[in-house]
Amino acid sequence: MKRDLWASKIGVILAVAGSAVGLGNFLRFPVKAATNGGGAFLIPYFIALLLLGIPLAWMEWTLGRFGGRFGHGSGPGILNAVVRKPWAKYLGSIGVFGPMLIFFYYIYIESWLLGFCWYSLSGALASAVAANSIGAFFGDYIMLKTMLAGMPAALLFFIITFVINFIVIYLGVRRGIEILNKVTLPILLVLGIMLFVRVLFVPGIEHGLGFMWNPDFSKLLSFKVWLEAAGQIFFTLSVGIGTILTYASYVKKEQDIALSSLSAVSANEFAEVILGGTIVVPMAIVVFGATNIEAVAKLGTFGLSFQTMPVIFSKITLGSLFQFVWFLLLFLAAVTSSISVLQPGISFFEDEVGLSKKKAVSIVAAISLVMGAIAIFGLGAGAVDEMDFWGGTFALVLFGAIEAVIFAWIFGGKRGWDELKKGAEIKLPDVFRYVLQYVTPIYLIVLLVGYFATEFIHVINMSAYTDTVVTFLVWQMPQKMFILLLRAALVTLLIGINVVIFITWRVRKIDAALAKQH
Amino acid sequence: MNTLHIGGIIFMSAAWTFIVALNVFCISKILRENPKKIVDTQDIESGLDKLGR
Repeated sequence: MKRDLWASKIGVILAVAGSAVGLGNFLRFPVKAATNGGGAFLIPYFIALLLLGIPLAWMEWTLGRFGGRFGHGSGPGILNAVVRKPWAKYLGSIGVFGPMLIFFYYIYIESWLLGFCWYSLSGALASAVAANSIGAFFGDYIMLKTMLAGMPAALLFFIITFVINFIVIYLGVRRGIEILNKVTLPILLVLGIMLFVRVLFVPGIEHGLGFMWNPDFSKLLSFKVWLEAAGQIFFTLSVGIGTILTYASYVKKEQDIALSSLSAVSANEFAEVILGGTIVVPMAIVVFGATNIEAVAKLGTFGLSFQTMPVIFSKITLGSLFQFVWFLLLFLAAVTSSISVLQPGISFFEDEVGLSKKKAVSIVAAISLVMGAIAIFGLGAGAVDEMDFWGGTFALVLFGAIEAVIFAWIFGGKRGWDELKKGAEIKLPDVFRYVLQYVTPIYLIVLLVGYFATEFIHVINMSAYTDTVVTFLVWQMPQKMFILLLRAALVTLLIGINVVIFITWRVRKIDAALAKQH
Repeated sequence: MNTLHIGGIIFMSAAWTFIVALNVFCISKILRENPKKIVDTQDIESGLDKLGR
């Protein structure tokens, strides 16, 4: 079967940038920076970008393009082609499981943004802000209590978002993903710049920018701040998920990856540091004041986006227009990211298992619908937080560390460096060869070990959960029991993927033996 | 209130300058690339396939 390839270089750059630019750029980064030293946070942040983010992105692009040459597009096939040992393909399963897991809950959050675009236009959001009931409005919406067209509005917008995602993914790499990113990324940047310019003209913004950027060097003495910076780089560049691996597998074998990767990183940083660092936190400071910012920050990322921002927009000229722009901006950023986490699963079933596109899309859609329902109906019980931890944090760092070790010490630092330089349209400084071979993998191992040593015991003990009775559809049970069942479902899915890998490679082996006999 | 002071201005400008410079560098390299390299050979191949080679 002939694999799809990107139609143009700019297409793959925009697709990878689209995958990276997401909610984290506009919501997560400003909160992390403002609470971890302001401008001083940029020191560990840029160090992590240079020693962790850019090198790991280069590694993923290199491994992905290498695997694509042999017709592989997902973790199991690519790592098997690189390592040539039977165990490698099972490690690669994390590169399929992780992104699928992210998709299960991310798609629901993405659909809230579409819903809030609608409510910005209909005026319902402005009315809720005027009635001082935005918190209740948001709560009712996500808990499926708000009705629209005879059904819960959140479900309606979820279905629309789900269909959009699967139509794009069914259209394929060049007709679906590439065209979507070529259209949405420029729109997203224009909307972001519109908001950025509007914010700079808000009276008193110098106080907001001061809160965001004035450096507090004492924070740098805390190891936690360095961990937070490294975590943010991981999160924002979409490294360690498996999406870059898959996207790079559709690059032609001699096409540049060094410049493409750097371009995607730099576009992401523009959206994150310049746009993201200027909009949310500085505006929140102007409207609520520095003394109330802690209470605002406690609402978390979702509270900031869905509850705080509508209040902020209600207080500025042309606020309702910019409120719509804000939710549309986030929705577009989320769509390009959710599409990217779908593709590794699709590629796994198409390239490794050998199914048709239609079957691959149908299987991933069916799994996503079942697991998405758990995220939707189990939201109040903690399902989204749990999925976000395993998919959006744990799998990311683990798979990133596996990729870095394989690239540097199994594929070989010199071989990997030469592979990266093939077709390169920029001259790579030689120092990065040593960074890729030693610094990045060791940096990742330290992160992983540090994380295991300090946090993992709390995860195993379920310290964040209680024995409060929660409701999931018609069942009632203690929250810890619900989380335990959810973990069992996730483990079953991971085992299922590994069983498919086992059977696929066994069948391949038998086919190869039969072909040899004939 | 904590207004933007010289330290904040330095960090903000340094970060913005670095990122804008990185973007300008990448965009200029992409634009300067040999146009022959970005010709889409797959389109040509699929056209030839349709014509039956």
